Amino acid sequence: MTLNPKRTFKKISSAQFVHRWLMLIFAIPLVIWGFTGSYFVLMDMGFIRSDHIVVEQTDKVSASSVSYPIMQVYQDFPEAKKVTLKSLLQQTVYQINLPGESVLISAQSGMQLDAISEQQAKTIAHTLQHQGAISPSASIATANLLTSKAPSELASRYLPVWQLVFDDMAKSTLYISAQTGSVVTKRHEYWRWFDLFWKWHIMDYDDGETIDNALLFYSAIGSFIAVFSGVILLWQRRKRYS
Amino acid sequence: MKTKKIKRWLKVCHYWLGAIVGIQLLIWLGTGIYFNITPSENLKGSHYYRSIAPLDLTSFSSHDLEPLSSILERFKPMEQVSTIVLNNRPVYLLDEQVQRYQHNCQQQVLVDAYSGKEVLIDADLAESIALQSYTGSGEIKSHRQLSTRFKEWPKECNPLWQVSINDDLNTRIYINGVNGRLVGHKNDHTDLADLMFKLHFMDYSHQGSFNNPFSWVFGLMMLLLSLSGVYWVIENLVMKRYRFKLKK
Repeated sequence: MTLNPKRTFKKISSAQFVHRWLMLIFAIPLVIWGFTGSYFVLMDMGFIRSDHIVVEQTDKVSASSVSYPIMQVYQDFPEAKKVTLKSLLQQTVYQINLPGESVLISAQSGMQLDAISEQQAKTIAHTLQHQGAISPSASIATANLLTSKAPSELASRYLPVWQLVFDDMAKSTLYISAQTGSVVTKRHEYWRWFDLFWKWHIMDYDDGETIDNALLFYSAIGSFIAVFSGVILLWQRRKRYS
Repeated sequence: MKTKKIKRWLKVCHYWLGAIVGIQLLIWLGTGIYFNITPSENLKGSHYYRSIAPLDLTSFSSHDLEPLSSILERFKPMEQVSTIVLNNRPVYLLDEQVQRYQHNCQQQVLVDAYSGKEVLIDADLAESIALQSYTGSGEIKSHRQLSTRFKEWPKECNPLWQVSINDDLNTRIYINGVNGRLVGHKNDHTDLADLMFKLHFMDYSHQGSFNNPFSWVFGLMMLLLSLSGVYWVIENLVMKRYRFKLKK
C-alpha cells in the first residue's frame, strides 16, 4: 500500500468527502436544530407563555372602598418597598411588598388578611376558566401548597405558592401566591415541551440556562463546515440535478 | 424499481432543499456561533446599566402622602394603584387595566404622591431617570421623543424618550413616556446583536418575533433537508461507503 500525499489531500479536501464524513456526526445536531427550531417558530410565543389565560374581567377599586389611609400603611410597615392597592376576591386590599415577603391588609380596616386558603386559590383559578382560556369543563386535579421547594418550572422567589393542576389535555397548571393571591406563573404541556426543546436547541442538557457552552460551540463550528461543503457541492452537482 | 425511484427522489429533494435553505442555514449557524461566544452583556446592552434604586426611606415622609381615596375620585375607575419611585419621589401609578407585559399599550396615569398633581414624563424627568440607570462616564448629548414604530424596540407600544449619551459605545437610554419606566439601554454592541437576532429569527418584517412566515417555511424546509440528509447518511452506512481508502 503506497500513499500518494497529493492525491490523499485532494481527496480529503474535496467537498464531497468533507460533506459525507462530517455529516456522519453533525447530521444529528442539525436534525435537532431543525426540529426544535420548527417547533419554536410554529408555536405562537404568546400561546406558549399562556397570554390567553387571563381573567375575563377584573374588578376596579372604588374610592369608597379605601378607608384605611396609605400613610397609615407605611407607618404600620415602615420597611415597605412597594404598596399596591388592588381588588382580590371582591375585596379591596393593600398588598405590601416587604424585604423577602408580602402581606395583604384590608383597605377598609387595615387588618392583616390570612394567607390564601386552598378554597380561595381555587376560586381565583376558576376566574381563568372560560372560552379561550383554560377549558370551562376542566377541573382541578390536584392542589398543593408549596412552601420550601419550587418545581423547575417555577422561580423559587414566588414561594409559598398554591400549585393547581387542571385535568385538561394540556395539563394546565396555575401557581397562585399564597401571600398575595396573584397568579404568578402559568404553565402547560406545550410550554414544558418548549422548555425541553430549548435545552436541546442550545445543547445545554442540565439547566438550559447557559448558551455559551462548549458542546454547542464545537457542534455549530463542525456543522458550519459540513453545511458549507454542502453548499459547494450544490454548485459542483448542478448538472446532475437540473 | 420503486425503491430506486424513491431513493432518487429523496436525493433530488435534498439537493433542491439545500439550494433554497443552504445560505439561511449558514446564517443560522453563523449567528448561533455569535450568540454562543458573545457575552450576554453585549447582547443586552447592559455595559453601563444599573437597575434603578428603590425609594430612599430616610428622606421619605409617609405623613405627607395624599390619601388614595381622594385621588381615585378624580379619575376613571382603576384596576390597581401602586407606589413607584420617579426621580426619588414617591408617585402613584394608576392602572386602568393592568397589562401583562411592559411593552403593551399602557393605560396609566401618574400622580405625585405628595402633591396629588398629575405627573407627565417630560424631557427633564426622562433625562434624570435615564442618568440614574447609567454607570458610564459619558454625558447627555441629546434627547428625542419618539411616538411609534421604534427601530430598536419593535414590540413597544408606548411612546418613548430616547436619551443619547456621548460615550465610547454611543449609549442610548430609553424611557417609557407613559410611566417613566426604564425600557433599556442600546449601544454599539446591541446594534450588532440586534442584527444577529434579526437574521437568526428571519425577522425581516421587523416584528420582534420569530413567529413569522419566513421562519415557518424555512424551518420546515430545514427539517426536511436534515431528515433527507439523515436518510442519505444511513444509506451510505448500509452501502459501506464509509470506508477510508487512501490508495486509489
